Amino acid sequence: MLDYLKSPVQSFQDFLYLAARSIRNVTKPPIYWKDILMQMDSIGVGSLPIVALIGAFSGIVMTLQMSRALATYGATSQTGQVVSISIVRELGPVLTALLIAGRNASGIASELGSMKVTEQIDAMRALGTDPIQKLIVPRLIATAFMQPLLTAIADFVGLLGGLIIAVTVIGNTANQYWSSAIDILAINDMVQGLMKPFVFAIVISLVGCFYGMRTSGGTQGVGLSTTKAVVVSSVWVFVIDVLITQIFVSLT
Amino acid sequence: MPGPILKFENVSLSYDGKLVLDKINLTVNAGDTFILLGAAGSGKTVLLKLAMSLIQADTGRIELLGHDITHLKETELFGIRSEVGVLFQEGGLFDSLNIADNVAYPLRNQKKLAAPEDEIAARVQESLDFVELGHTLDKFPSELSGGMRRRVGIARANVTNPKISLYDSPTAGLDPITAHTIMSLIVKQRELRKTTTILATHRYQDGAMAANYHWDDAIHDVVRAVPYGTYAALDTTFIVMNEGRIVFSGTQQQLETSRDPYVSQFVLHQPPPKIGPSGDRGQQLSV
Repeated sequence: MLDYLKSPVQSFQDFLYLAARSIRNVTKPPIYWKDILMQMDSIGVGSLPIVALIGAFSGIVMTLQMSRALATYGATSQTGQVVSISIVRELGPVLTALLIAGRNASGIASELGSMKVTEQIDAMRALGTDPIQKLIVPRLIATAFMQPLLTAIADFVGLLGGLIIAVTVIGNTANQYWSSAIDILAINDMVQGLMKPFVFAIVISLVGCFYGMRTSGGTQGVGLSTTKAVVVSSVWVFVIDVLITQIFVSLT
Repeated sequence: MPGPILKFENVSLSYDGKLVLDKINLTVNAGDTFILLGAAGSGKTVLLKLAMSLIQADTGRIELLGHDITHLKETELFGIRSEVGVLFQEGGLFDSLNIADNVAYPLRNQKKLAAPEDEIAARVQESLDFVELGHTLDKFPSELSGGMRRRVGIARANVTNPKISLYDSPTAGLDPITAHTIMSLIVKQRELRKTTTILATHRYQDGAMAANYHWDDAIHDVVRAVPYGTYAALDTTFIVMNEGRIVFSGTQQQLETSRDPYVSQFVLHQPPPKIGPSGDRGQQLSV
């Protein structure tokens, strides 16, 4: 039993060590600005279309589902409130995080994994650069900066999706929908809605980097690392989501 | 410089409970050429990586260029590594950078070697001309053949004028003609720039070439220093490794006359002859 637990505990310890070193290095020179900007482009701009699309559909589906329940109480005029709270607090951050985990944690793990198995990481160290500084820190900064922005866009597009259904299917006026959607949002919701993606981003990028950097066993190993990165970062998204939600619920 | 360039003292290392290097002792002096022969998995690559502390030894002590590097921090190692050239097994070129940027990488990233961009460009050009690939500056590694990538790797390893160069299986998987070109470049580098050389390989021909070829200024090429059948005195030591241990260390002549069955395989290019039932093949060798 103890032997069975040894490997995951060891991995978690290695992850914490890498995470601590990476976070500590964020402010240390040299800072590779070019790499940071390239990663922002790939992670942020590259993910924008899919994030917007999923955001829109989640808003549409939420509104359609809620309309029936609200109609039972004759409260369809409150559609905006329900949609906006669930999107800003929960759906926007979590769906965006799952997309980033699927798209970027896998991308990071496979890129770093390929570099590892072709000895490019060793070459980097041999030629005078710290892979943590050159590879991990730019991905960490780029994801932590871009993911809250992507989430904000997903939230906005989700609300627009909700608006379309509220006006065309439920029969609300646009004004009615917007005012109920915006009025209900308190500062707590906004902070929660932006805090979550920031923490998710740190975890997703570090998990991707961690599995990439510990890849071994050739191309098969790269595939395995990629799968693990997506699965583990997705699970962590839900675990952290529960923790942050609980913290904010107990604050109010 | 006084003292050895590289020294291993009782160095051992294990991975997942398996011993990959077992009490290695090795001393490399300035100007020496060391040929590490060994089958796949015998510990050649691990030994080269330990030599520049890309991995850490479990026990023992490693000295590189007068520094004890056994327990140095990564940041402290960068300065020492800037005086070492290394060619990785598959070249280890960065896919995302073009050839010029790959070769310029150590000059741009080693603090000790910082230079203005025009000087870097000149040195990159010179280093690529040295391996006869001066026309590939703007290409990416994926556009080059396996042999060309190794040559770029040699250019990158030596652009810094290192005191010692480590080559990990530079001819593995290459055709004989390209392998000969690669070895010529390694000999040329050693002869023209007086670089101490450690070469890990499984091909005895590579070692024989390093031991007997030199740079001839008159014909501007790498040629055999002595007639076939004789041995040149080019400070070349052959080391044979088996399962993490050094099982032979000596000159080419000693290697060729070795009766050890494992060692002699590298010279004969085939497993030792099986003993027939009549036992008429001479003394039985135990494996």
